[in-house]
Amino acid sequence: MIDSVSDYSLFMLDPQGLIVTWNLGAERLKGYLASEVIGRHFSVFYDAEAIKNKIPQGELEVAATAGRYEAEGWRLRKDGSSFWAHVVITALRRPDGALAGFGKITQDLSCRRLAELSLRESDARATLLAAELATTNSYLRNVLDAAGVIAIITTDLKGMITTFNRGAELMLGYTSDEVIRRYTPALFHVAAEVKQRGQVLSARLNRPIRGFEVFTSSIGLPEFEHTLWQYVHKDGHTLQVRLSLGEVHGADGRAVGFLGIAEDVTEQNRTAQALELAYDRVASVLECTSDSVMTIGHDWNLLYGNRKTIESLPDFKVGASYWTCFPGTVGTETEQNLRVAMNTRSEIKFENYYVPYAQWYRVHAFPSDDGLTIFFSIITEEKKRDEQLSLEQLLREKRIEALSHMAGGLSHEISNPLAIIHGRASDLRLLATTEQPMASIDVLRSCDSILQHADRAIKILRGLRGFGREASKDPMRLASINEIASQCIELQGLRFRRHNIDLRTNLASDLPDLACREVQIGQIVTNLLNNAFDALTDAYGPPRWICLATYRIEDCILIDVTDSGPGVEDKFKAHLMEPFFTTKEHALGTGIGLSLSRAIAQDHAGSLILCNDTKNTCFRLTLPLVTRSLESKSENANPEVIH
Amino acid sequence: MDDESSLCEIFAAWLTNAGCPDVDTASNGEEALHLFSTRSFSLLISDLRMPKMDGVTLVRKLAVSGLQIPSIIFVSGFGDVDQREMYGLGVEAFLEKPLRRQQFVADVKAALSDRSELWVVPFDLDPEQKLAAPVESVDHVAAAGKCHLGRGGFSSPFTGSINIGRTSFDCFFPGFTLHVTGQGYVRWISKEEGSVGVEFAYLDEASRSWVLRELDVIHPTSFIPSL
Repeated sequence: MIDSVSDYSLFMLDPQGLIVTWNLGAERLKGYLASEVIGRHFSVFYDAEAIKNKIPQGELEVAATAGRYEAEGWRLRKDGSSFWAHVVITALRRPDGALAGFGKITQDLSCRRLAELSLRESDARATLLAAELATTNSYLRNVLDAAGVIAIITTDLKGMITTFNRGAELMLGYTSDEVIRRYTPALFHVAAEVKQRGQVLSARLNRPIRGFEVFTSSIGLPEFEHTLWQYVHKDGHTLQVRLSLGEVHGADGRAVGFLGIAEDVTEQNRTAQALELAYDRVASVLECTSDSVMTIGHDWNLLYGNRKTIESLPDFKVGASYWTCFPGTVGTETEQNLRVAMNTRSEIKFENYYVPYAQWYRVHAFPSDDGLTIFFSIITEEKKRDEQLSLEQLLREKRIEALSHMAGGLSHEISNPLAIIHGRASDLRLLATTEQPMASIDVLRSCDSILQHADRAIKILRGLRGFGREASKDPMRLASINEIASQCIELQGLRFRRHNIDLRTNLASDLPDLACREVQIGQIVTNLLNNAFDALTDAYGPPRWICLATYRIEDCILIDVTDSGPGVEDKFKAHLMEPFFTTKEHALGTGIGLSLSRAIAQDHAGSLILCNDTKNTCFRLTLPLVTRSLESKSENANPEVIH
Repeated sequence: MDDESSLCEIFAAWLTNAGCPDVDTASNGEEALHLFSTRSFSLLISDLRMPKMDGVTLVRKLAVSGLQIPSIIFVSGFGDVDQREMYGLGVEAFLEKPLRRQQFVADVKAALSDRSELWVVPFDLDPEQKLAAPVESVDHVAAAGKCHLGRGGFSSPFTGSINIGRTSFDCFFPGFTLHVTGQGYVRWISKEEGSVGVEFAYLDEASRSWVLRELDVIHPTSFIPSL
């Protein structure tokens, strides 16, 4: 439209009056090329006297205040000649009301041929222009701010270029002289692109569309409103533009041509493409990472979850609230942690167990623009391994503790038989080397004593075996519970007697052998005896007795360890089987502890309880006779290895 | 005294064969205490751990009983006993089970021998460490007002570096203006109190005659005073 009536000088000013666009009419009327005049103050068209009287500024002030200024007067051409001009200056405002600039339409009234054109008509055109410019306000702003980047091109109805502004010149490398009167799209469009768009439009509009019609027919179709096109610069390089097209109407309402405003978005696109590429890369990294990643918005809605997240969290749903998807976290430490991270914008690492999925997670939450980005991985297996390890370690430590606790007693227990053996043997030797006749009865007595005490030492060592090594991987094998009980008593008996504790036994004589890990059962019994012992040394006065009983009920063998001690306080009963729980003051704790004893009992499909129904404190170990005995029976063939 | 009757039997036979005509046995501290109240003994050989009354308890009870206290030898399978206290109460040796007949008999003979026969022969090799009590310890000990000489050794304030085992020594005793010099065994060290207990093994002549004279005067019950 701007150039379509070349008899009108039509250009735009910025709010200060600097020329920002220039049309063909203006060029003709005033003799300046766009390149010569853009950026200069529009007062160049006024004579010295008008400038002196600040007429140009005054006109802008009126236009700015009243919206419009209209006058007639003398103006200057480039060559210095003057003409009688009719001028309309329209203030252009942004949607927020700020002054964006001015549109100026100048008509040469000195030319009588144009005198017929009514002032009213030009007024209407100006209004039209202003309206149109206002609708493309964002472009106008760009025009005003950076006219060099916006190309404004107008054509007649057939595609002949009528305006090619400064911006277009800068953008495409052609001068307006070179392109005006030539036809678009042949000149700076890519033929293949035009053809391809033509096909799209043909399909859309159901008729063959090609050539210039590709542009004109898209006007009014919303999806084609701001389409991207390739432009080819005069030097051959291509650039990408966002092209907006509009019809230019004459005073009678008929279309007289087309207006195209093109913005170079090559840079913008390159950046956007690079961003997109980077995003794609990040996304693909996120998608294939073994970690799960999710993003939560400030409103706690789920924004993104990578493949792994979706796989591992069946309830994950983009758009839904985190708390709705994972209600199991509400009120837990996880909620606290996440809220802290979100509210304080700080990074946080933690581990949590999510009950509904029965999984352990290691979580690393970072504050991000969107809210929170959470990396997490499932560490349930790891946790299990750790637990297993710490259980094994605990067992090992407890064993060592028990061993060191017993070391004193043991060395005494073993040194006594050894002292006797040693003494007897040295007596025998002396007898043999003296001239005195040996009474065979004395020799026999000494030998029997030696054998008896050697056997005793062996028994003690057998009982000890369990404490020296890891037994949890021993095969289950048939063993006599009474035998195990006897060994424990042999190991502990003397210690008990020396503390004047009466150790009673009541072992049922007809018990069948039981498939078990002998050493572990021995550990439990020793632990129970030790606990009873500690209970009694704490207590004052007689009676001081411990009773170890074995018996059978149906398909179970039961071992009761009862003591005459003060009993377990009610408040402790509930905690008795917890790890590390002790009522003993100076970590007297001997043996492997009740919690581990119970774990071993359960591993044997049995149980370990504190009896409620007995007068004295009684711990009852119950072991079923039928268990995993058969599968490991074959291993009995292996020769026993003593560590 | 041992709760292991076989051991009592064996040790009694050894002692009898070695020329001790009068040997009694007991199986625990209570029995022994009863025996002590009926007659006197030159030497007690006791196990540490026994039911009813263990060796340590027996020695503590004897110390406050007013009964005549014999030389005591402890026999143990495991030395979890406060040796400083026991030396202080009159115990003079700790033997470990199992023990060899010859060594056992030699130790018993030493415990029963006349003091004048003791502390005469120095070690074959000079001990590597030397205990020299600081001169000011004389005043310290004098101020404490009690002799820290025992039947078989002495205890002394000492804060230097020393190890359990053989040592030579050079110390002051209150009432004696000369150094007491000789060789012996560091039996206990108390880092907290800055003191050590030393058993005599050898004393030079001047020191020996002073110590023997002094012992005849003070008749300490401690083998090594616990200070």
